[in-house]
Amino acid sequence: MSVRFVTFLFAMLISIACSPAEEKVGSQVKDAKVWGALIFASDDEVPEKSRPTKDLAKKLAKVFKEFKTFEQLGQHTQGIVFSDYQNWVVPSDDFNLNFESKGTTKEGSMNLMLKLWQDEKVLVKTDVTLKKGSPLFIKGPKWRNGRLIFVLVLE
Amino acid sequence: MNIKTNPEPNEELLTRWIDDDLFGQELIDFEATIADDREMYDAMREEAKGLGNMMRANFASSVEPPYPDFFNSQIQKHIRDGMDEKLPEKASIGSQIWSWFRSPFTLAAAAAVALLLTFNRQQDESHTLVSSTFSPNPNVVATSFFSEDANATVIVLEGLDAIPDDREIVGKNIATYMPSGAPGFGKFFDDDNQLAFVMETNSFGAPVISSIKKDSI
Repeated sequence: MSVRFVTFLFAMLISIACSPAEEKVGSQVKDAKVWGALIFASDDEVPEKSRPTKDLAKKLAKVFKEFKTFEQLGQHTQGIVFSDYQNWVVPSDDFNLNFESKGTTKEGSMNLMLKLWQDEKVLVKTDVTLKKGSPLFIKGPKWRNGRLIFVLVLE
Repeated sequence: MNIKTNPEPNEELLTRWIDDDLFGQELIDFEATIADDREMYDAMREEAKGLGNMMRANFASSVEPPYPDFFNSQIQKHIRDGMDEKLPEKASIGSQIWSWFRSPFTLAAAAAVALLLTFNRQQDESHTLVSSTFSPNPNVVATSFFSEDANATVIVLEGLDAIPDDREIVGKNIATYMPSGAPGFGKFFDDDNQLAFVMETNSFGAPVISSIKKDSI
């Protein structure tokens, strides 16, 4: 095996290791489904119908230890993620999020470039690799006696 | 149009001037040649000095080799071994690069880098990762961290204005968003697959949610 061939092989290996493996079908990202919610964290009593799932409530409680309760104000399940369009997750009139998919990885994670909006203002822009089962929490502004939290999950 | 009349200053003199190593008549002559562009040369000198100070501050001027006794004895041995050897002819730059490139050490280093990248990617895939955050509001500081307990990644936005207590935050339950028509225009459907609202974006890309006007859709 010539030295030149071995060198070429290494260059190929490095480029494969560095590039995300895209799995797109047409204008949609294959097998991608995201879920977003707007949560109000406070110490108030929350009616049962407004509580998030037990799993999410447990995760929220582990991160935001200063609050006792979590109220799910709204939610958005997006079963189709578009690769050619801006995607929107709109669980409320006031707070919403848009993202561009930068493709999925072999492990099923999704690379996103996202913006969180409050009305017509961008609160934050961020590049994220969203992993299944590992939510993204964005701790937003104070409201009344608590704090608003945006949740994004890859399902 | 600004045309230079003085010739470019000698590079060696320029370097010595930057290092404050010109004196007497030499200094007077040199400063005469740069008189027309004095401000530019002063700025260049300040920049060079700043760079030098920064490097002196951040890099040690000397580094103790590991195991200095062994290091020195190995150097002496190599000098003794090489005394009788004929010096090889000076290789061309191309062949030097090629010999470096095909060196087994280079290949081993490339393999190590490839493995490291692959390993890091595998490590990175274990949870949600935030690569960068930016807030257009200069009063807002965005930081992120990973909570192992919750297996969640958190972005904290500090410095945001609090929302007035009397404002209602209205939640929605949306099942699907479908882009429709012009870019930035979309329809949102609820759990019963009924159109909940439409949204368009303004010239800044900001969302503008409209109530349903079924006749116009």
